[in-house]
Amino acid sequence: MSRTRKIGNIVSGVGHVGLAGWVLLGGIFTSRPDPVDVQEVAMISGEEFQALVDASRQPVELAETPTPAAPEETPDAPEVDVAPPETVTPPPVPEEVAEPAPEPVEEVVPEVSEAAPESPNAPAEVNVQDAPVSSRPVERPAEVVAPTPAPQPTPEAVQEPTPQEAVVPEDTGETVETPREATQAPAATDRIVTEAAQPPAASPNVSMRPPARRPSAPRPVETPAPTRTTPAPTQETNAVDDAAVQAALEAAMSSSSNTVPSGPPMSSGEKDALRLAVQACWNVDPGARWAQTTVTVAMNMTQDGKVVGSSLRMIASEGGDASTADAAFGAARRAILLCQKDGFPLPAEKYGQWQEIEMTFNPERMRIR
Amino acid sequence: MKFLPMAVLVAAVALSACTNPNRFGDDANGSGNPAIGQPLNGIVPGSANDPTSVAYFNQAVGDRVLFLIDQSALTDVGRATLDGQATWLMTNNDYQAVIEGHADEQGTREYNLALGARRANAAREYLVSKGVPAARLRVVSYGKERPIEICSNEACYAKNRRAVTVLAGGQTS
Amino acid sequence: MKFLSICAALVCAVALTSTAQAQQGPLKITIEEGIIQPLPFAVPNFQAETGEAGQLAADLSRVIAADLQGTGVFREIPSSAFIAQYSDFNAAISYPDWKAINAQALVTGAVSVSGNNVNVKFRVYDVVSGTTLGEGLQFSGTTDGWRRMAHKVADEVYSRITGEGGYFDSRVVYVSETGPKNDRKKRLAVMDYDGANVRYLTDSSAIVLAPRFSPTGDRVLYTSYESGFPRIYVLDIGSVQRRVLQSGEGTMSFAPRFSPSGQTVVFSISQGGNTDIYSMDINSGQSVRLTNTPAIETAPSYSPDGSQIVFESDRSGSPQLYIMSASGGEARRISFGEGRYGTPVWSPRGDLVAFTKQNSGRFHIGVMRTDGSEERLLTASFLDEGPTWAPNGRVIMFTRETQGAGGASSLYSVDITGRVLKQVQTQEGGSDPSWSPLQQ
Repeated sequence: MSRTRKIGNIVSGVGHVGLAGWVLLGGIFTSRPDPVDVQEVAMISGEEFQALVDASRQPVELAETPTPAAPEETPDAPEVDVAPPETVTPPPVPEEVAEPAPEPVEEVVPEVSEAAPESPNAPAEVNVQDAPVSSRPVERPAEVVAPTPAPQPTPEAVQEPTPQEAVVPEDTGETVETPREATQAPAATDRIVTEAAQPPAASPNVSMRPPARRPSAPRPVETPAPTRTTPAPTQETNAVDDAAVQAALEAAMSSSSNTVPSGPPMSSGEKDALRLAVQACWNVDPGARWAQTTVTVAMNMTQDGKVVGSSLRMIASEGGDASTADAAFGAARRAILLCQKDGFPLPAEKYGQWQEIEMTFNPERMRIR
Repeated sequence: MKFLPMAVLVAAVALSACTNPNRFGDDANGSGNPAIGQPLNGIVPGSANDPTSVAYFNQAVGDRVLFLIDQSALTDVGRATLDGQATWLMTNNDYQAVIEGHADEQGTREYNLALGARRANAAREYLVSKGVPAARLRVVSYGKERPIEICSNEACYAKNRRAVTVLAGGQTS
Repeated sequence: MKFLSICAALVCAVALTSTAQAQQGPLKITIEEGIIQPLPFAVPNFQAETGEAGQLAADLSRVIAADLQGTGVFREIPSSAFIAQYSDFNAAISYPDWKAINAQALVTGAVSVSGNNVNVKFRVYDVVSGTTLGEGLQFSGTTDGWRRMAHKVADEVYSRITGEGGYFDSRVVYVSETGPKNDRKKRLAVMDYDGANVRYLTDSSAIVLAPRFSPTGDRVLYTSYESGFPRIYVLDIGSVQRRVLQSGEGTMSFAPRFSPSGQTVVFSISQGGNTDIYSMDINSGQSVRLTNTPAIETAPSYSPDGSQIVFESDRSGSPQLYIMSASGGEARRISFGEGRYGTPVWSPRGDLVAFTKQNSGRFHIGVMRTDGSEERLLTASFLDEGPTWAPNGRVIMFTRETQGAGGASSLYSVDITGRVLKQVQTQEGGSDPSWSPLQQ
């Protein structure tokens, strides 16, 4: 073992012990009355966001783009006397169904996904890897020779399976040897902190699920790890899942509570779970102009992990123009709404931290140039 | 110098053996039917035996020179053929000629047009240097539009990379 | 050692607290990876508002669906899978029914026919969010032009979902080919981008090559051997009248293209075995020599703003791509990969150059940025050449010729990701396609 590695282990060990302690205290903190702001924002935003969304939809630039009416001179060209500017009187129906009433939309979603879970393309659970990267029906399998024909997110793809991965029973002595390679969370900085922050509970084998689906047998919170002698690195791999379980349990228990629980900071595992869930439905068209536009979408969440449909809005865009931003927002919105299913896998006890979410969709690594 | 006539002969034989029945393979320009021609001194006018005939030019002198891949420089064999053409053209002053440049199919259409022009011009300049009046010689490039051989390998490509001297305007009898 | 550890612990703790504090605002997540899949859409047959519109309504819907499906960016959900029956343009959309079959976009429409006139209305829905994309729109035209109306609807749908222009209401002029390799008959033809409505513009008595659309789509430049020598002609598509562009006695001219303004033609003249690039004012016939080297310079193509020209030259010893000012002068080489490069074409978006590449006995259609970086090859075959851009810069059409004695040419298209490659159906063989701008 190299010297640096040793140092790493020591650092990690000390850090974990310390942090675990902090986490314990953190639990105490949670029970304190929360910072109020969060709640208020949530209350306000429901309406306001609706207004915003409506406003942002007004522009309808596309519709107004008058398809130029031009006389065709060439005899052969069939005349299309384009009279497009005439927008068809908006049907009273569709809009009303959709816009003014955010609730129906919400209700619809779960209904549908339950009604038709078998629909072939319904993205599977949380598994990004399973999503076919290109199942597109290419007419000729295509001798694509491009050095990087499909800029597929290879390196990351390997790391994704965070939630499921941690099968390593922690009492196995070997765990020490494979501390890292299993899960390599992409955001290094976040990880150190947040992982350490979460309660390192025991049971490793559980994969992350939306809280609602977990059998809600309330269990006592596991005794924190620091008391154990297990080398810290081992737990890193499991911590994520533990946290998820914890989250699920607490969500189940605390859903009736009036206060907005804030809990300890979101762990990287928890954030990853959300990220992975959305990724699985974010359908990028790498050749499109909007693949050069990064958009940030804000939304409010209900306590059971669902998006308040009317609150979904684009708050920023970078690169491209208004129409590519619209298209990028459309894709982001589809990703969020399609993959929320019965609610995103978010820890209910930390609702205060995710009742507002801002997601940035950056296609840079997906696009072809 | 001895090998020269030999080379011409070889080239002529080789070429006559591989001609195709289309305009670019075998110029119909005047190879009359020997059967109905009147033998004169044992030579059928207009036939390949008649040294003043187009058929003689095409077959005995050799109407084409070949080029290496991507090249427009004349080969030794090509120069020998052109020497024969020059001699013939200086003897038969009534004829004008258009030199057609061709390329094989390996290359883009545009580039091959330009390459064919280079080849045709290389042949023309050589003939001019041998004394053929420039005014009698025009060039045209067909690029890869008119191959005489249609397979897609070097055996065919070698024959398609060519400059063909097409006679016009002379009498055939 | 100890010191280090303590330090590390401190760092951890500090980092921890700071994140904890940073957690106060909204939860921020960045998504950088996604999936690449065709977007599932449904186009139920348009409602026939008048009795005689039934067939037309069905046909229109099919062409719209085929346009979208053909991009490879969308995937049509067959009507056999539909749960909801669509029959009334103004009825409420039952989103759950469309979600249930995984449709993410829905196009509905209605068609009415009165005598020779057709009116088409349509709407686009984002099924997932349960909203309309843009407002309803209507086109009117004649029954003869129904395909164009379908293409226009499809362009609008494409544009609302992708945020960029479509390319369906466009045409392609190309060389229609018959006969064996050594006696090929060639004539100019024009067709809709999808191969429909073919019309022949010349006969096949002389070789014709490489037609190029004018920026307004009403004229075509091409090279013909009708004089016995390659010369450039400009042909009016409507009247089929043509005239030769004079380029001097004893010269050959070819490889013409219009400038974006349509006023200038850039092309090659071959004289004395040397080929250079010239530009000519199409009305006055005044020409300017843009290159002057002993090398071959050909296949020029303007940048969309008309300020620059990309072309092919073998001045380095093998054909490579160069860019120069539209008025000539210094040129900078942009292609540096292995092999030979030719027929560069500037994309309508301005950021890419498509080209033909020949390497190790294979031909490719590829694209690179205008500084030569990020070269990507999109195709490979025995012989691919002569790319032309769709008006929105998303798709490239080109010539593919098969190998051997029975070799024949046909038109293919590939999108710029290289994922969607397909043959464009033509009645005869085809080569040298040139894509028109979107029709007005």
